[in-house]
This record gives sequence, C-alpha cells and structure tokens, in this order.
Amino acid sequence: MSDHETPEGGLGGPADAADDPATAAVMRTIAPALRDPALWAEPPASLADSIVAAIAAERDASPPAPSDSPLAPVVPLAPAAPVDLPPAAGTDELAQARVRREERRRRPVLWAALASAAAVLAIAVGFVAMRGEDEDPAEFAMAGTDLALEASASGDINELDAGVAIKLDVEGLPPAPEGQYYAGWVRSADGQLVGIGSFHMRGGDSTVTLWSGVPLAQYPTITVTIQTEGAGEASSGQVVMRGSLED
Amino acid sequence: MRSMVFDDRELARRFPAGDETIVRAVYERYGRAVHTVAYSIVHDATTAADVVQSTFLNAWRASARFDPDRELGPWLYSIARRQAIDTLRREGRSTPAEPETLDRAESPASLEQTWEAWQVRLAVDQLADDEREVVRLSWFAGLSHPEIAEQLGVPVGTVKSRSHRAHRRLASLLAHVVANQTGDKDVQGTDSAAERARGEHL
Repeated sequence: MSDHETPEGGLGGPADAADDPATAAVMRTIAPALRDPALWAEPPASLADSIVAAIAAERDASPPAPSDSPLAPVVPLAPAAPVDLPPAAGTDELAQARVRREERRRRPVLWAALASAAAVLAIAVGFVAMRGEDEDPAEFAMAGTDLALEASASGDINELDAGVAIKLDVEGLPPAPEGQYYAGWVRSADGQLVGIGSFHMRGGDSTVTLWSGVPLAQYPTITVTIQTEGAGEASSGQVVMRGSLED
Repeated sequence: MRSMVFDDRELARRFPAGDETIVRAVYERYGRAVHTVAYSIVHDATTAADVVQSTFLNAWRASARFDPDRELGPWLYSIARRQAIDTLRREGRSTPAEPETLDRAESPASLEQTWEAWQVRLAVDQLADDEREVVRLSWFAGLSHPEIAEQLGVPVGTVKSRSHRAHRRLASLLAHVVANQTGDKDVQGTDSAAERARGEHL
C-alpha cells in the first residue's frame, strides 16, 4: 500500500484500514460519517460550565426528582455549593423579598384603612360582581438569583375567565439588553415548564402582567429567565428571579 | 474529582440531583456526541451549541422519570435529535427559506444518519488524542500519511502505526454498525426507544 493513498481511494479509506476484511467493512460503512464536518466540530469550551450553571440554577429553584418516583432513587437534592460556582441565591433572598413585601404592606396603616374603605365602597356599588373576581388575589414573592442579585418582585394572582393573570411588581431588575428579553415560566413539581409571557423592562414601568393557561396549583414554582432573541422558544435556563406560588 | 469514572447506571441514578460532578461527567461522556447530532441537523455551530445546552437541560428536567436501568446514551441521543429538529423547524418558520437552504431545512438528517454519527463520535472519542488526530487528518482533511507526518512533525512510520491502531480500534467499537446494516436494524429499536423517551420528557 502506498503512503500516498488517501481516504478517497481504494476501499474508501486509508490503506491500513483495509488490511483485514472486518476493518475494511466497518470503515467503508462509517466513511460518510468520518468525512462529515459534524463529526469533528467541537462544542465551545465554555459550554459545560454553562450547562452546569443552568442546571444548578433550576435545581436550586425546584429539584426535579419527586421523592415518590419509583424510578428515581432517593438522592441528596442539594449538596453543598461547588467551589467554582457562585453561591446560588436561595431561601435567604426569597425570605428577604417576602419581608420587603410584608413591610410594604404594613408600612402605612392609612393605606389599609383606605383600601378597606375602597373595598367596602366597591362592594357597595357592585364592582365585585364582575365575573371571576370574587376572591382576593393570592400573593407571592420572587427573589433575584445570582444572575440578578438586586432583583425582587411581589406579585398577585387573579383567576379570571380567560386564564390566570399574574401581576408582578418588579424591583431592581435591569432592562433587558438589546437582543435579549425576559420570559416568565411556571414549573410543575416534575419539571414541566409552561411559558407565561415575555417582557423587557425597558420602558421604566415596574409592573408586568403575565398570563398562565395552566392551573397554578399544579405549577407551584415561578421563574423569570433572560432569553436571547432568535435562540428558540425553550427556556435558556438562565434564571434571574424565582419564587414559590405555594402558600 | 474530574478523574472519577462513573458507569452509565451510576450517572443515570445520580443525574437527577444535578450535582456538578455528575453533570460534568455526563457531559464529558456524551456532550461531544450530542453536539455532533445537533450539528448534523442544524448545520450551524452557534445553534448546535444552543441545542446541546437545551438537550442537557431537558434531559435533567426529565431525569427523575428516567429508569437508570436503561441506557443513558440512546436516551440523550433521542432528546438531542428531537431538540435539534424542533430548533430547525422553528427557525424554518421564522426565517424565509432561501433556495439553497430549503432542502436542508425540509429534510433534516435521517434517524439512521444521526444515530450512526452518534455512535461514530462516541467511538472516535474513545481513541487516544494522537490516534484521533491521525484519523481526522486522514478522513476529514484527506491527507496522506506523509502529509500527516509532515503536519504533525513525526515520522511516517509513527503515523502508520497510529493509524493502524486507530482503525482497528474503531472497527472493534463499531462492528455492530455493520451488523445492523446487513442484518436486523437495531437502530429501529433505538427509534422506538427515542419515541418512548420523547413521550417521557416532552
């Protein structure tokens, strides 16, 4: 065999690939794959870190392994934070957001009095006869992750005929950079994500209304991710805020 | 930690916890093969990287329902292929199709092609670095042994011996591919496995 033989010659591969029939047969079969750029393309070196970070962010928000799963053995869900990852935002920030919300709620007693008076007046004139709004909205809080440490939100949930309106009062979340946007998600206990809308925070208004078409009792976690335009509709996994919709 | 070796069952069992060591181990074993499947379908490096990330995220989200007694690789393959095709279709809907890209957008690589690419990538990844490079230069770059020797700065005899070992190893690792093509198509079984996995995680 000549040293100048190329993959294009002979049996379709280098000379030494054909020195026994079995090897030659395999090489002939896989030759198209060996010549395909896809085989040799390398993923970005940073991709592993991105995947680890994205999974860590979602894991901290809501571990995917239900404890009663017959297929998943019981494993530690949240080991100590790896040393080369930033500390994950956790319950402390969530608790702080709740405290801030509580403080805002308690601060002016006058507010409560006025709100009560307004509610009484509204009842008196029959405004609450509007369909689907006969219950007080449920409230919840969201905390920023390590991707948006200053962010927080208080929110309320209104079950309406058209769906579930989720109103967020957002603080500390910067406007999304050009080419990016925020997306809201609710997540079931087994990890199913449902998109509830997108926003950018570039207009200065801190109020965001998202809509869910799925019952939130089955989707007890809410997250906001930063997304890249044109990168597809799936969650980027880059969670900037999260919270629990459970009481 | 990076040197720890886990078998597939152990990886599958521990993957749902999202532990960094395990996620990295799964990526180290299958990340490049997932990328090959993604790239062979979307034909774009940036999009392929996005598909890889989505594949691992979706796999992790669904991992609590994955039976660790099943093979982890074919399951990841099925998620990757589905993710790549979904991405391709979304881009096809949002971007006006140019004539030269229309065929590609309408006809993603077949199941057999992507499954073979997956297996070949896994096999190539098991070669020693210097052997893998000889195979790449030989098959992909189309270089002769003397040309490879010149490029790598090693004797031609060294190239020959590396090439010989590499091809024997590939033949050993991929003998079942030939068997599948000449006999019963095991890949069809993988198709069913892929469909099952699809139903489980999407």
